[in-house]
Amino acid sequence: MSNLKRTITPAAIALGLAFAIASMVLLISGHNPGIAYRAMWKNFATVDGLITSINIGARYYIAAVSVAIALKMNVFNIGTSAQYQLAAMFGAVVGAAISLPAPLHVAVTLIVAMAAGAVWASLIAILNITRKVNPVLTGIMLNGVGASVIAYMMQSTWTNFRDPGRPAYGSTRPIPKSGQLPVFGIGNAKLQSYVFLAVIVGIGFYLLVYRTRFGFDLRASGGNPSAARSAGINPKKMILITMCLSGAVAGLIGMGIVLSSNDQLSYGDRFPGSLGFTGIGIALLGRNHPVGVAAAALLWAALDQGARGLVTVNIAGEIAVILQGSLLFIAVIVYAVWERKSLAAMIREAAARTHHPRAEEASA
Amino acid sequence: MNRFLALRGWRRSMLSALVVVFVLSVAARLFDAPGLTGSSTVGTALGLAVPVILAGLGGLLSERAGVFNIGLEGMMIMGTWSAGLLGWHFGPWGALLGGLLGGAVGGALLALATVTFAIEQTVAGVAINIASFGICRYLSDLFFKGKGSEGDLGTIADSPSVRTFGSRFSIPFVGNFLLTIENKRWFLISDLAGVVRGLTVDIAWSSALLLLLIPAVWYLVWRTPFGLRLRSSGEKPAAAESLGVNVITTRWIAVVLSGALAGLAGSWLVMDSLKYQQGMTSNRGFLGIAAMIFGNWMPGLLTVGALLFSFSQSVGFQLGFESRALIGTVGLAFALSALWSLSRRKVVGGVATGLVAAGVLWFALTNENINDALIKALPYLLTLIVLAVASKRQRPPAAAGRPYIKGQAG
Repeated sequence: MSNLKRTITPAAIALGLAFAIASMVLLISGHNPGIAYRAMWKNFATVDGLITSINIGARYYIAAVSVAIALKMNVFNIGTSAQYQLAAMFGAVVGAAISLPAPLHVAVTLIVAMAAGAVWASLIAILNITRKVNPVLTGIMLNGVGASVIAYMMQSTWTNFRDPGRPAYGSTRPIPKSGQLPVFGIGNAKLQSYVFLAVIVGIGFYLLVYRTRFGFDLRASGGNPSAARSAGINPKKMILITMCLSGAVAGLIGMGIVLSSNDQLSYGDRFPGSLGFTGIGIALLGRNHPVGVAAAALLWAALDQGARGLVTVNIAGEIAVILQGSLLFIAVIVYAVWERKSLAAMIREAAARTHHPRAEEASA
Repeated sequence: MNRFLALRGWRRSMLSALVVVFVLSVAARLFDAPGLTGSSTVGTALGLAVPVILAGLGGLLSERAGVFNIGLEGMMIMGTWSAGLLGWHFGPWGALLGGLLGGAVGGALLALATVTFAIEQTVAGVAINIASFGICRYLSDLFFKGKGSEGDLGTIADSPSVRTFGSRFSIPFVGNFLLTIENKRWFLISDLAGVVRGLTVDIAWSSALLLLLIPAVWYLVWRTPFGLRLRSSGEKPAAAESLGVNVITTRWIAVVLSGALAGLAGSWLVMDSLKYQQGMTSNRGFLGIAAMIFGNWMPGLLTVGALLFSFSQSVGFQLGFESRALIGTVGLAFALSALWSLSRRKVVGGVATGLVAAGVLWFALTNENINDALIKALPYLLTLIVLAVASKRQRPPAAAGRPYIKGQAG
């Protein structure tokens, strides 16, 4: 119980401070924060608003888990942007081209997407292992290259990815019924079964990182690389496997959009391009923990959903982005300060118990 | 002055520059692309390099002081916004001041988080990148939307138009003379003239002024007492503190200056596009970090890295066979390095590089028109290649990325 309290208290403090900042911004710009928050709440707290938040939260969650896996060993996968878009494109193309019985069709499509994400992410690891190139830089450069690869493949008559039936649309061919992920109607809203995929990814992430030998090696390499090396963990192998895993999960980020009938059912011009960076923010806000990240993803999506209601009261929806950004910024500060404080308290306690000479020092 | 030249390996730099121009002029002849060494290509490249160089210098200042600054992109975004605001009201000097201030505010935020509260530096930087986007859009809604004069109204995504400096800067007298030589199309000599002309004639005042910051940063970091304190805070903060250096203050100043430099990159962008536009930084902050790592945390090489990127971008704007010629140049460079390896009896590496060279050259010779998408990817690909070649010898500041808590020296 005290463990739970220790986690929730700093998060609550951060949330309170972030809302305080957003309120100040609203006040300075001549709006009533009460009206703004009521409009946001009204747009969120309906069946439709709730289901939309969950649908979008699921893709945020997968985006964040992808980043979190790599961060567990202190590698920053900033290249998820290109990884998930390439994966979505290949997944959409293969999903539209094949015809198989329903579950197999979906499985093949998802595997293709994961493979595409993993391959693109593995380039980051390979350049780091063989040539010592900083993964952050490779990720950024490969985002640029990936955008060009997508542009080329979507134009080229040789690849023939574009749907000739919808020339103005600039998208791949639509996914047939057997290749789609089912959608459940709840009232007027539609819950995507992609949400369950996100749950599976979360459980898999938890089991892998906290319950397997590999997960232990992963956390050890992140926490203390030199100790891990002397314990016989091969850092090069670790980084390659980790990046492939991270890329494979990134490959799933866009698949809810591609495979759900209440969404785009193809990859094209209207496909969102900023989920990679959002995922980074959510991973950091949720402290790379499967449950923390889930809470952060849902909160982020709820703020998005609420912001769409601000039009009705003539306030710019960007106040939600300010809320998200300042929440992230304050949260990381509060987490760090809180952690240091409780560490100092633990040292003090232990020192008092043992009458250690460090006791006075720690309490000073 | 002489000592300065000797220290920086001036002769070696000139010689390498000459080799580069030589390879470029061979490729220009081989692929019938005179624009490859033309003054307009080089001039455009110089301009495009300015924001990347400034961001790189910002990264250099902050990392030399021990703070990894991945928030440069966000600080540049904040710089573009405030440069748009002050530039719209007060003209070019306002734009410069605005960028400086906007970036410095971003730098102060990062300093607060990483230096005062000593939190994970990447995390704080990413948070700034995310927050800056929303902040600028929200502020645009308040300050730009529907403001300005008829036909020049701001929106939530861009400002009313901003004036830039009226005239452009040229080093006097050399222009016409170099132009005459450039037009002769003599091998190597005309090419050299073109490159020199691009670097000295008809430069935007904003570029000319901001480029002065390269020697300024070098002087600050390597020739002043503050610079010594800054570098020691980035190498061994505990030792620095035991010698009386205030690591916290030093890092604060470095990070705020770093943000100001990134913000000035934003000023340049605003004056180049004549207004603030959302998303106009297009990852140049990150490219600055790449240039800095390429440059081994030194201002001179950093500039070369930024120029490499911007040159390939600028070549992509040319309408003739220039892009193809640039790919050919890469092939020639690989061929040279293969010969170099073979001459040093590294047979396997030499042959492998030679095969790559042959492949690239073959591609350049058989494809007259390069696909648009490939042209756009070229700057990134080239940077990747160069990083792959150069990264093994890099030496980052020892304490960069590690939070420092006062009194850590014990």
